[in-house]
Amino acid sequence: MSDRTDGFAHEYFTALEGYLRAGHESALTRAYELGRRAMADGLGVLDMAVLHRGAVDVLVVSAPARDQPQFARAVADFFNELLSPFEMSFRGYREANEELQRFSESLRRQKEEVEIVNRELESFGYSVSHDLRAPLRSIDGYSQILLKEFAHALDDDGKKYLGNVREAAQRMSQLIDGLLSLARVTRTEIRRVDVDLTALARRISERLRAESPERGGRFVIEDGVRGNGDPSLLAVVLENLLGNAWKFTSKRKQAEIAFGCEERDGKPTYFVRDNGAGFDAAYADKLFGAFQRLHSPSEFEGTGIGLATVQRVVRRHDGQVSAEGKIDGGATFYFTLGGGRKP
Amino acid sequence: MERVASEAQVRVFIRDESDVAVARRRARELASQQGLSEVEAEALATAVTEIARNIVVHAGSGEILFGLIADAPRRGVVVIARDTGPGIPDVEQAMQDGFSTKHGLGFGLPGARRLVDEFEIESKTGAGTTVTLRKWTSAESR
Repeated sequence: MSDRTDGFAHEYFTALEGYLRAGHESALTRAYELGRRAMADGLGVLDMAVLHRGAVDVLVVSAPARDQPQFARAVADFFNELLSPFEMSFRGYREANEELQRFSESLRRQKEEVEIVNRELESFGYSVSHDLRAPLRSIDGYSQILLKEFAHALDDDGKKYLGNVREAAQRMSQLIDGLLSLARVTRTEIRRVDVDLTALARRISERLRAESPERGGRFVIEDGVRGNGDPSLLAVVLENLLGNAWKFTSKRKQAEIAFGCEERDGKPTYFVRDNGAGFDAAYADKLFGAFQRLHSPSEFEGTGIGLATVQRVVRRHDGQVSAEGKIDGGATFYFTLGGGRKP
Repeated sequence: MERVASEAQVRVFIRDESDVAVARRRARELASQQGLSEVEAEALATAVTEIARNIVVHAGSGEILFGLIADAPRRGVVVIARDTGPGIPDVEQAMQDGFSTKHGLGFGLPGARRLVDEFEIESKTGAGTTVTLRKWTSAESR
């Protein structure tokens, strides 16, 4: 027995002996208090049983044979007292447990409801986006026909306005594309494999350069960067981040865009860094909201959906995304892939 | 006020631990007199211990009244614990278990509540606290 239970054992023995001798209620109160203290000290019912047996083993020797029934009765009453606090506390735990179960059940139900509502919202968004495309194609298509075949019937202002109509229609089409891809990201099952992110980044950077061959600048892509995640979703992430970097460096004579992986807070963290227009660090948390833009479309074109999509993909990989930057001082976007291996 | 048969009323003054012991014995005696089972009597005695302890610890002194009650076919014991101590500022909080305590959840007032059939508490800051417990015979009783 430990020192702690030794102390209890001694006190218990003394109290039980006193109770057997004089039968005072105050000795029972001491047993109760001992039980209460034992509980607070983290002792259990079996510790109490051992304590009790130890005391009874000694005391039974001195009990005269004819007093055995009273002896048995008295030690049982005394033991009762020792255990009463345990009973009381047990009822408390049982009630707390029932409450916890009710609570977790209601949480589960709420979660289910939220999931149902989310699914409905997603499919609603998806079908709306889908249904919006057809009339949009008509607007753009008929505007194009007007410009081509009825140009003679339009003056310069008319042509300009019709051009504006087409531009607006195309912009809306881009927005819808963005929304559809955001919805797809949410719905797709994640399939995690080892992905060669270096090769992926190189492919994307080559495509970006090919799209605007007149631009100077370079991509610095670290060798051997790998990540564990869904290949097509990771492609969405890098396309958005590298595409953004390319876009926001368009006013630089020498654009410099870097992709790589470094250790941050003990986790392998991927980054895309550029020396472009940057952003106001005060709005860093707004960057990842859908339709949030820190630049006007006239400054840099865009829909404001790209980073929301990036965030959603990264979160679906149990990772985190963050950004650092300052106005006209470039930007760095970081992301992690939870559960991913160190490259 | 409780409809208590006056001849059955017992009053115990509570000042220290020896009074707690007296209150417990009264609780057990009256419970078995009313035909409550041993376990029920012990549960009432334990509840009385906790509220008597509360009086000693928080109010310094007070009194506990015991009475026999009947609500045919049930019989029972009513216990009224009164003190004129500082009172409990937040009764609702006092009736909740200290989830933060590492061991021994369910002591004190909430512990006493679970051991009896009816539990009422009234407290006024500066004017004291009155706790009323009732424990009835049940199918388990003799």
